[in-house]
Amino acid sequence: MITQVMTIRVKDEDGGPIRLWIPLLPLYLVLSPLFVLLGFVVLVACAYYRANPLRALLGCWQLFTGLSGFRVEVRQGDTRVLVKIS
Amino acid sequence: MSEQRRQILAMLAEGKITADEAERLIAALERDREEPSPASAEPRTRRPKYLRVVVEDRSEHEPAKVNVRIPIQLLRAGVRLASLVPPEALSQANEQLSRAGVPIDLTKLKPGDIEELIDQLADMTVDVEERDATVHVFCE
Repeated sequence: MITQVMTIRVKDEDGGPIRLWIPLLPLYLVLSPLFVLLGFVVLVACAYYRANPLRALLGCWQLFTGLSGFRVEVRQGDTRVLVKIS
Repeated sequence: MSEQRRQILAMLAEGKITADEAERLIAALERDREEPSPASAEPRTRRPKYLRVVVEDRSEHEPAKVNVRIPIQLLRAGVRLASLVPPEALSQANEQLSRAGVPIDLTKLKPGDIEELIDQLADMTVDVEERDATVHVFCE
C-alpha cells in the first residue's frame, strides 16, 4: 500500500505537544517529475549493467510501498518524539 | 489412517460397499487428514510483519527509550534490489565486509531464500541486558 500520511508528534516539557499530519500524496505529485527522471536513470543503469529493468523497478516500488508502517518513537526525560508513516 | 483405509477396502472386497462408495470414503478420509482437527491443530506459523527494536536506557541522569518498528517488506525489497547489483560490485562489498569482520557472502543472498528466512524470524528474539540498558530485538 502506498504511503499516504506521515505523522510527527513532538512533546517536550516546555510547551504543549506539537502534532503534524503531513499528507504525502501532494508531495508525490510535486515530485513526480523527479520520480520519472529517477525511473529513466534506473532503466539506463539496468541497460548498462544488463540487469532486468522490471525487477529493478519492482524492487524500487516495493521499497517505496514498504515504508508503510514504519515507526520511530524516542522518549528522553519529558521529551517525546514520534515519527510514523502510514 | 491406513487402518481405516484397510477397513474400507475390506468392505469393498466383501461386497458390502460399491467401488464408487469406497472411493468417496477414501477421498473423505484424505480430506480429513489434510484438515487439522481443532484439538490437535498446531498454531499456524504467523509471518512476521515488522522488525522491532526497543532500546531502553535506565540511567539516573536521563532515562531514555527508543522504539523502532521497521516493516519486513523493506527487507524483501532490499534483498530484491541487492540481487540486481553486478557480481563485481558484490565481490568488492564482500571484501570490505570481511575486512570489517563481518563474514557475510552477499553473492549467496537470493530473493528465494528471503521468504524462508522471514518465516523463521517470527521466533527470533535478541535480548541484550546491561546494568542500565537493555536492547530487545524481535519480530511481530
